[in-house]
Amino acid sequence: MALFLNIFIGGLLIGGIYSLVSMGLSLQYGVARVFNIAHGEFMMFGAFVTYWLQSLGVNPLIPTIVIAPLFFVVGFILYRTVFTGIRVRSPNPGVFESNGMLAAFGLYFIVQNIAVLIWGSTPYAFAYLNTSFGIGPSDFRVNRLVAAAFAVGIGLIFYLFLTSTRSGKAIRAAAQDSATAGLMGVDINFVLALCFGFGAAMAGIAGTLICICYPISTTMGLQYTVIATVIITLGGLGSIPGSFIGGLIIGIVYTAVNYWQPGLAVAACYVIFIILLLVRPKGIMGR
Amino acid sequence: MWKKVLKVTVPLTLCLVLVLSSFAFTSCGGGGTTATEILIGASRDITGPQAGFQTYGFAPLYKAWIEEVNAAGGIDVGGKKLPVRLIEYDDASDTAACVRNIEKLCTQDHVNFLFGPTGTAMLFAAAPIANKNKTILLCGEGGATTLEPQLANMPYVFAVLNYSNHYQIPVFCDLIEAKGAKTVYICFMNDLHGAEYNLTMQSECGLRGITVVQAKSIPINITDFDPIVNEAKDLNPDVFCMFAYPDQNIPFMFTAMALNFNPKCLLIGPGCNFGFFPLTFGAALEGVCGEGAWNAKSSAAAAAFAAKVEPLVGGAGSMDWWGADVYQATLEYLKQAIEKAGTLDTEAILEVYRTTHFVTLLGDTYWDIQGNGVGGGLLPKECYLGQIGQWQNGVFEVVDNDANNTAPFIYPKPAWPVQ
Repeated sequence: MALFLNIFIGGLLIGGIYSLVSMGLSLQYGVARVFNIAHGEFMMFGAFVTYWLQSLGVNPLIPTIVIAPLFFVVGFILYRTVFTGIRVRSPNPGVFESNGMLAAFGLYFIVQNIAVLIWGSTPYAFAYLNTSFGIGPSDFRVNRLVAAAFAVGIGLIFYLFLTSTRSGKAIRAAAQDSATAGLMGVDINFVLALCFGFGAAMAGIAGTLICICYPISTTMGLQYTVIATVIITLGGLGSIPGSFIGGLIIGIVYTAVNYWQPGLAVAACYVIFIILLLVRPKGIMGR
Repeated sequence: MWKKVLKVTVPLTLCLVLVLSSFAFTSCGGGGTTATEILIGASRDITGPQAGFQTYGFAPLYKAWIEEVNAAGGIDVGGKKLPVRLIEYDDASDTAACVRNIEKLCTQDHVNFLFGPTGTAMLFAAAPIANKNKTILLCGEGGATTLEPQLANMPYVFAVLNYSNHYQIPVFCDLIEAKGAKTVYICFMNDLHGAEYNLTMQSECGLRGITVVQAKSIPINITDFDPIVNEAKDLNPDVFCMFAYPDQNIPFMFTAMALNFNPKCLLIGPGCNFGFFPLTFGAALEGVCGEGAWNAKSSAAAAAFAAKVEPLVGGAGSMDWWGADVYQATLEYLKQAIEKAGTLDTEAILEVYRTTHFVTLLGDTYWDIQGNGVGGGLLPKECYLGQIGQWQNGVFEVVDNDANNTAPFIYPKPAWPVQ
């Protein structure tokens, strides 16, 4: 019973954070069609901004208020300047995706090197709500509960935004068929930039939440980009609920294998990834 | 007729002379006093998962040493002062890239010496390449137990850092045995470093009748330590050993504190030996052990070096209380060896390494030459300022239970402070 609780609840707590990281990438790749390999670097920057602010005495959850709009603006401008230019010059969506990915690789190196110049490569960590709470015979960490609750809350708010606002409907239309959405009067350049901006904002918030649970370093981004890639494929590209469910599944699998043999936890995620590509390539919620 | 012959033979002879002279110059390049600089090559983690070691490991020390040497006009080589130039390539913590870099440094850049890459696994890969190219490799971070037997056939490789069976774990096991420890939980990273420390720990525990209740490997990218800490709490060992790098050791410490797992002895490293550990954990670090060790109390020279090096590495947070002293001693030894040899000829310098004691930061410093005096070298136990450290009141005290001690070993460690 204790082992089941440890795996299930522990997995959900980690999965919540994974979901938030993945939702951002899902928007950027699934809708804006940019496989943003630098997604984890945005998250890393968010984590370091949080670390810096908390070192000044700010509660580490407060920076989300600043980080979300700031990263949104950065992401929006990046798409309108870099990726829109590439999209306009690309003869077809396939060429845009490959050129966009190459540009994202460049972005990855630029952002990471700027971070290394500012913060070096030493790991940083601080204790925030680093205590435990008990459920039955098992103990769980309070900071993870707070981070997961935040992640779920933000995911729900964004889901409501998608389903009940005009901008949300435009994003969903662009996710299904951007060309047709454009013909129906949707300002496709604006909507795609909006998606990229939301993706960057979510990465920044995820960085804040990761920062309160785990140590951070300027080289940590790629690791989370890889996990997010597995999750968005599992959930279905462009599907926010899919990314959410995928994150929770990966969190539980990761935790379960961690109890048995930690060295195989990442491998287990890839096994799921391969099985999914063979059985249901569109993902759980993909169309 | 003669004109025709001359027309062909004169250019041919000139070409031959040019080719032969270029061979002659190439073959003596780097030797004697014809050189204009001393070239030192290094393949390092300028980026990549282990890039932190560029900040708090060997790199800041050799960079400072090169600046200092060049500021003084260079190293005296047979009466001529030669500046030192560093050629540093990024391997991004990738072993294959490291091997390529070392090969390039030896065969294309023709460096006179190599500084080691970061970590045991990288060292294991780099040593045969340096040896094959007959270039002296001064290893920095890392030490491979499995490399030790091969050093007999690797005369160009000199390992400086103390490692698992190279005194540390035997000393640690003596300490816990003396305090009556009966059970140990081992968590180790699944690379050569972790595997070697795990095997040595299991072997040393077996010799002393201490039971290893679990030995669990972890990947380099692990973030979630709850399963391991929960399992360790259930098994309730006297001693918990964490043989991984700082990126793993920091989250482990936070998890152990949050889930209130407090064994009688906690050995964590590498990482615990760095100055950013007390800055991160504060009073919670009291009684936590790590590999190492030296501190400002080890000797007057150590105190002076600690004061000098702290601003060089960027403050107390980047101080390395395991390796900094031996890295510095390696650099001091190298300078004296070149000066004594009076040439950059590798074989002449090797002869100095095999036969000569020099005074360095560590005091009397010399090499335990493997392979009956013709192989590579290890620093003997007498040269080190300590093997095991324990944080006590903000100082990484040497607790070896011998002449190196700067404080007695605390067992059991205190409880975690209330958060």
